[in-house]
Amino acid sequence: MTGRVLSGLGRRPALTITAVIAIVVALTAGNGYYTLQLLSVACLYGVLAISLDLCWGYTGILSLGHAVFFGIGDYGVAYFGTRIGRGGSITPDPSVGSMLLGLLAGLLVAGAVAVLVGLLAFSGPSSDPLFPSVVTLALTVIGYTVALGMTRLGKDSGLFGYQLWPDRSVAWYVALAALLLVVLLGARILVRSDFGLLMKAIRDNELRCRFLGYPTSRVKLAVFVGSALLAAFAGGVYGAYQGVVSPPLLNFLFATEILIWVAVGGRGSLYGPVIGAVVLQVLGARLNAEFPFAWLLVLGALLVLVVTLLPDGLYPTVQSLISRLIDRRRTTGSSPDRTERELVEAEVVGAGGPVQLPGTAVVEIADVHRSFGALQVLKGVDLTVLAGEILCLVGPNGAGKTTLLGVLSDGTTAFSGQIVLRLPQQTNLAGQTPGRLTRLGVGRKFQAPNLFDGLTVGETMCLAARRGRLPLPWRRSRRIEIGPEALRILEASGLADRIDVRVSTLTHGLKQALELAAAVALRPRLVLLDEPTAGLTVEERAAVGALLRELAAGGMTVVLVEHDFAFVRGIADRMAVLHDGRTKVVGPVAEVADSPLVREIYLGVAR
Amino acid sequence: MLTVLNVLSAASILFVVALGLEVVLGIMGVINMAHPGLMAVGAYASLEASRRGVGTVLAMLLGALAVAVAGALLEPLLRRLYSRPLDTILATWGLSLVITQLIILAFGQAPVPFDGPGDGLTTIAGTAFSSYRLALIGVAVVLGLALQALVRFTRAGLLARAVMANEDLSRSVGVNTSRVRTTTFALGAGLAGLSGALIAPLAPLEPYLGVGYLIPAFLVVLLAGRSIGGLAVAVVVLSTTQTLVALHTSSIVAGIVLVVVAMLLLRLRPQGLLRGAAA
Repeated sequence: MTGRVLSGLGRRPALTITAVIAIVVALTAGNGYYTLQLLSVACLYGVLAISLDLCWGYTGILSLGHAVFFGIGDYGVAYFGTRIGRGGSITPDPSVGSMLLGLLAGLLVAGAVAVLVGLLAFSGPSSDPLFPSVVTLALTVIGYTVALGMTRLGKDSGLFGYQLWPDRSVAWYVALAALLLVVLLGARILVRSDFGLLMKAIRDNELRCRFLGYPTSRVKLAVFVGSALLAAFAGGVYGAYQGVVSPPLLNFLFATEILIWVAVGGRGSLYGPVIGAVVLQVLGARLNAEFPFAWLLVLGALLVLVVTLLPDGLYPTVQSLISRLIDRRRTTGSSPDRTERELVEAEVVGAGGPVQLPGTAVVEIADVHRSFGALQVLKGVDLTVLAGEILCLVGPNGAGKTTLLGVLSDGTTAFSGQIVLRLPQQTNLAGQTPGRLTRLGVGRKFQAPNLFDGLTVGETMCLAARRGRLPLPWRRSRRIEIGPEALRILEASGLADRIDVRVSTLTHGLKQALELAAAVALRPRLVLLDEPTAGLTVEERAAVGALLRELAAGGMTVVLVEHDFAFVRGIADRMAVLHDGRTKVVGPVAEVADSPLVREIYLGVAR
Repeated sequence: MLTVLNVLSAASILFVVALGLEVVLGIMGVINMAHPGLMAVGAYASLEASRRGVGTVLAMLLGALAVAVAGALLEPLLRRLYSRPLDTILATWGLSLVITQLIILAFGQAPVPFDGPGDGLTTIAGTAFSSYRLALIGVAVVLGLALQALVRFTRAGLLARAVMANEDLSRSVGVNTSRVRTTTFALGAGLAGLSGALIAPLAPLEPYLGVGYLIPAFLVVLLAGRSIGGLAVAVVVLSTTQTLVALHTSSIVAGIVLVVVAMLLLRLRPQGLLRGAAA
């Protein structure tokens, strides 16, 4: 266990940490009490930067409210580190006990606030990525206003003088540097774990994660709350060390500064934000003393420049430059953080329950309607899908094929009519979320490849193979256990030799194959495939066709949308013609494909 | 009557401030955090103009024009960010920081008085009320109607609506979408500058004058759901809430209630107040 955790630290943290320490030591030149204090605070800002980086850089939640959580931590310690004296004046009264109590109180309040904000931001019907930013922006306003208004919190002048051990600055510095190091290593284990993969996958493509069966809203809530707690912890320790708090600590300007550390250092890289926080804090304190206002000008300009020109930030850019200089042979497509994962064939059980008898109904669709505004796309679809068959949906563009698959894979879509799933237990589709359907045994491949650009092939398969079971935040699996069918797709397409290649650099055909492998790795009972062979070569098509036949023979039910009639004739059992939002004909392929109706509406032959 | 006038006055100010944001968000899908900075530029530019002897109203218009030009120059800088909406928030906020600091360097941080076109009182139904604030209500109505007419009845408005509905398609049928974007951003910036100039006489002028309006303006714009009528409704709803709560408790509580009410409304109606949830 310990060995696994240690190996999770990866290959080169020592080098980077040494570099960080070297920078810090270099900045300590001209040592003095003031510098020591500056660096101690910088360590805590480093922790704060890590907390925001986990939230924003790794999970894609742009929080404008992390200053509030930091401030809540500080206010908690301030509240318990002071008391109301005679005449209502507030006097400092710090002790270790009150500090711990304050820290705990701060964590509790910050956690509760984060849960409320998170529920508001992530669980709504709107999946707009701007919404969490707006909610957290509003949080800074509320936090600032509350702090300004509460007498016990010192109103606009705040509270001060409650610091612990003010004369032991060296011990504080060592302790705070150690804290930063521990948090950094912990965060590193987290982002390199399988849970970290899931965080990055949500950042890149949240919708796809839901179709892999992951409860993304809950994951985002957990990351947000955890990140808020870390920020509040840093704030509490800051309070114990500095013994100062005032409303501007919760203000939007400080929230911006945290964002700037992370953005300039390099979001999604851990070291970058820490270096950004330390360097900008030390530099800022020096410049601010000499040229007030100019520093904010520099910060603002830096933010604009980095965000527009170097969105990855300085650290990853410098890192990739250096590694390119050192190792010219490295292929540009491979991820700098090599996965050390290997594909393993495993006996994977399906979604549970016995396999249905061939020929019994798996899906019963009755009179389904769906419209987008005034446009009616489905105008009464009736269809029964049988267990173990390959059913092909055909029809001209706009007939509603993709829309029907969309409804089948997401019961929360607005539709009318009745859809019953028997997988094998009977379930009414209406209201079932994509994640729930995936766990019930419905898999889907999208029409256009729709994957995680920042992940590698192996990482994508690792997430798909888990089928929505949440990974532990410290465990990094070495083996990707996938079923024989998915493994065969990877081997036949050549993806098995490219598991360390980033998805964004794959060709269209390989992305299609990966999509298919990811859908099949879910071991669904019912798989919905939207044009699985689009963009593939003739040989690849034949391989996909053979594979689908084999899956069906193994008891999997396949519904696919396909335009290639030759392909369909070769593999499908039955065919359903969709035209103008209605099912026109359903029957064995040979009969339907040659029927005059199909010739007329689909192939465009005059009657 | 005083309460009604107070609500209308607060609503009209918020409406004027939010119009520029609405234009930029509605047509470009960009949350323009540089808004407070641009407001400050408008206010200080009209201050500078009126110090040189230009009449107040003309000075305000000149201030707005200056900001519109600045907006047209700034827009190309943001162009590469349109596919990354979250990053636009950051970049425009960075821009706002830069602008505000430049104003501080040029004019100092101390509040400066700015005399409006008149500080008299007008009596309506037995209640004396600031004439300037009454005029602002009229200005808000006129601006809203003018903008609505611009979007509905002119060719420029048609192009803007086309880009809003489907930018790729518009480009493929020959609409110069980048010019539409530049014009839109300039218009939004000009409206920001105008609102800065218009609110300048209400309180001594300071570089952060727009920051306090940013969040309420954001909330109403999100609630408006890309329609100027929706914006008017959102502004009245929120201003009424805020003014009434402030009257009975304190302005701090009112500020919190405002944000919470807006958040809840947004949660219930993510598409905007005037649109049905299913649309």
